[in-house]
Amino acid sequence: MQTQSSSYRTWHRWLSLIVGIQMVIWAISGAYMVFFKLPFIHGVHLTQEADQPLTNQTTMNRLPDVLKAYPDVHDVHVVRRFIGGEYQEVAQLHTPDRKFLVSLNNLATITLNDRDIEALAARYYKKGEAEITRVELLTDNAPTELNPAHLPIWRVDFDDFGRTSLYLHRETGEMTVRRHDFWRGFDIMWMLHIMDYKDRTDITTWWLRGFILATFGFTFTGTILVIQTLRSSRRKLV
Amino acid sequence: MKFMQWLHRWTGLIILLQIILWTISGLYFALVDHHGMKGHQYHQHPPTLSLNVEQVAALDPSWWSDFSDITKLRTRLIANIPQVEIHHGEGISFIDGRTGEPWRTHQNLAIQIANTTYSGPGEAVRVAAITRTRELNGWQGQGYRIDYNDDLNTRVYVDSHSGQVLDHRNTPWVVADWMFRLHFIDYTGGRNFNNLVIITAGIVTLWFALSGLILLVKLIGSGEMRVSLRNTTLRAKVGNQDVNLQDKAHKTILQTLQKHDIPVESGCGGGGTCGLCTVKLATTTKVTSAERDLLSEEQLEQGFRLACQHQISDAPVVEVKEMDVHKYTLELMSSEFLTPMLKELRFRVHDGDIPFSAGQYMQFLIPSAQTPTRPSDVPEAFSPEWINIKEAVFTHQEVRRSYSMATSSDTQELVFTVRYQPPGNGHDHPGVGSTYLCNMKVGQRIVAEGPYGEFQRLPGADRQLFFIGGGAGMAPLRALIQEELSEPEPRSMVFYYGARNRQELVYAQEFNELNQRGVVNYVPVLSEKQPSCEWTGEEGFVHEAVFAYLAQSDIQAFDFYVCGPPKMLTATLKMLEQLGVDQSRIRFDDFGI
Repeated sequence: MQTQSSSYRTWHRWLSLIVGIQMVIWAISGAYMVFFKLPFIHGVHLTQEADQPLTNQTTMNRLPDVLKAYPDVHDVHVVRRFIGGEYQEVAQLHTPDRKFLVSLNNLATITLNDRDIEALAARYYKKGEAEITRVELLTDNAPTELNPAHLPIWRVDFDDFGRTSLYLHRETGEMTVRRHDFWRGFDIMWMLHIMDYKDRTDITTWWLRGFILATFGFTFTGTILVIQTLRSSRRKLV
Repeated sequence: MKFMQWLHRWTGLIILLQIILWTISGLYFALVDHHGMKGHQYHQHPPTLSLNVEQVAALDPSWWSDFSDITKLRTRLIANIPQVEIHHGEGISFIDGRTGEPWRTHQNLAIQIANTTYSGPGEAVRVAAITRTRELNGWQGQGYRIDYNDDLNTRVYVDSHSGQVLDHRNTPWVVADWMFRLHFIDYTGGRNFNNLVIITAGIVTLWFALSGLILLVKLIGSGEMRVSLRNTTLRAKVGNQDVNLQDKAHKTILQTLQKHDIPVESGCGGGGTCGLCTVKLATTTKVTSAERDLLSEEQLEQGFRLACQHQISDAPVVEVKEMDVHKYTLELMSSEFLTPMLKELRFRVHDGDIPFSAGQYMQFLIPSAQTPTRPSDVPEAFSPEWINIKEAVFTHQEVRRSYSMATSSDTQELVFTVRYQPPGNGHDHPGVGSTYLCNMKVGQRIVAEGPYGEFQRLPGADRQLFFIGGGAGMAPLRALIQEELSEPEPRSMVFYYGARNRQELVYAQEFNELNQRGVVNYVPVLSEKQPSCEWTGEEGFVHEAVFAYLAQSDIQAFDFYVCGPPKMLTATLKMLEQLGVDQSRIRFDDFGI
């Protein structure tokens, strides 16, 4: 059979230079995201609950006094949290523009320092003995792994496999964001997958759309070629 | 390289459909964005209601002793009712702050709660109590579905147990959900992209993409991907004629030859896998891995290369196989049934003559047409065989079909034997080429290209010729036998020919005469003898009969010529190999159906 060859093959080869490379990137980044379980990526295995059970019922009776002292609260959490070297019962108050802790003993606002944060982080940490290398309050510049909307926030770094970083809420000490190297790898893969190399969030760039459309052409030429090859029995006599 | 091509082709074939689905859903995501997919077009955060001291002071704490290990107590207003959320050792419980009883959401309250999160133009028009829904994967319990009469068919799900809005759903969300199913290959609706199916697909795709990448790198490395706007000249020697062909410098020899209508055989269209586009280049031309696989050491030393593997700027002088192929117009002179399913067609060459060697073939350019499934001239004697083939007309595309000449070398009149291919083997219509040709009327014309092929006799005055044929494989063998007989001193010939029954022994009379004259030892072999055949000759498969014959003969004396249907050909070649016949002593013509 003499097939007028080559125009599909030529197209396929040239498209492969542009789209094909991106398809390899899609395949590799996709495989990474598929192979590692999402809860693992989210670091669910890294942390545990750090608050202790409440010890007495009378804590609820303090709430009217708390609300008298702090108006405009729409949400109250009563918890027993490790602050100042001991577990103490505190109220976490939510107002439209902030959340913070109040001591149920003296109704004073609690300010957490880096020792409190280090102690809390060690209690959240689930992977055994915590080796904390750094505790830092981030105020202005968020690292790429953190959404700037979380600022200001405490960052606690651990010396472990995966270089865990836990981000704790500045005023309440709540476990807010978990990061480790597999998440960081995932984030890079996500960036490559959606082709937003700047913010790693925009999935609607014209750049991405163009590549997807070109992929249709690339797939089409490839399909024609594979059909041609499968059919190219040398000749028919009969 | 060959393995990579194989891998790329087969992984591609397996994963093709999913890649198309990934591309379609990916395009959808890129067009619609997160906002369009969440079902939150008409969603708002409920207004925050501040707790007042009286409400908190009135909280009934009688439930305290019902729970153990309480780690968190959360108090807030749900539709202005204080609610206490208790995190305890066995989970989370919700308490109505006014009564201390477990929280319950009645229907009107559920609508009220739903409305606080709804910002659209519609109103709640329908409420249904539910215990589970396909639209909330993993949720189950007591709840409500509240439908709004807006343009997006919004529905809001409220959990009765907690008084919380579970989520909003609408029509765009359903579309998006299907896109996620396609993209994650998770048709449960769970949007789990770590499932076993997608992991498997991921592995296949990875191999597919990486093999493609390796092929691309090799292509770039071999210089095949260069582009040039510069024209260059390919000096081609076609037969005895020298021609200069102009083309872009990066084009392959194959592309350039085809562009200038110089016929070259090619099966794979320039992929370096079929090995048919053999040409002769300077012996110093580099050898590609495809050529190392497909050509012999001897051929490579002589300068034979594949035309698809070299660009004309690297190999500016080419000698194209002496294959004097042209297009001819043939006019049908006669069309006659020789056996129930096989016709002999005689054509007159309309424009000049066709010099060819016995054993060669022509490619018929069958046009697209509407063709009857059975010819009108089936003789009475053969009609029982046609009883199951119904009258119909089928439409077909244009195709090329090859048929060997059944005579030795009359350049004016070409004879072909065409075996009708009935429907079957998964095809609902009969063979396109055979049906079209069998239906041609005397005087009708068709274009054919050729002659092609190298199924020709081997030299050697003391050699004996052993022909083994079956079915329509008769044609080239008959031509070779006629050619040998036209020699001044024909060599000794044996011809084993296999058919199913006596009726199918084509040209039987002709060969019986040659047998009686003692010039060809003709041995017909029947595999499905009927009582009506009155047969006393050889039976069984032709290769078995040949094997029995060769067992008591001197194999070394013969050159073998084999042509027939694929199964017969394979069995015969295997038999010859077992007997230890040297490869160079065997020639065969492959039907390759």
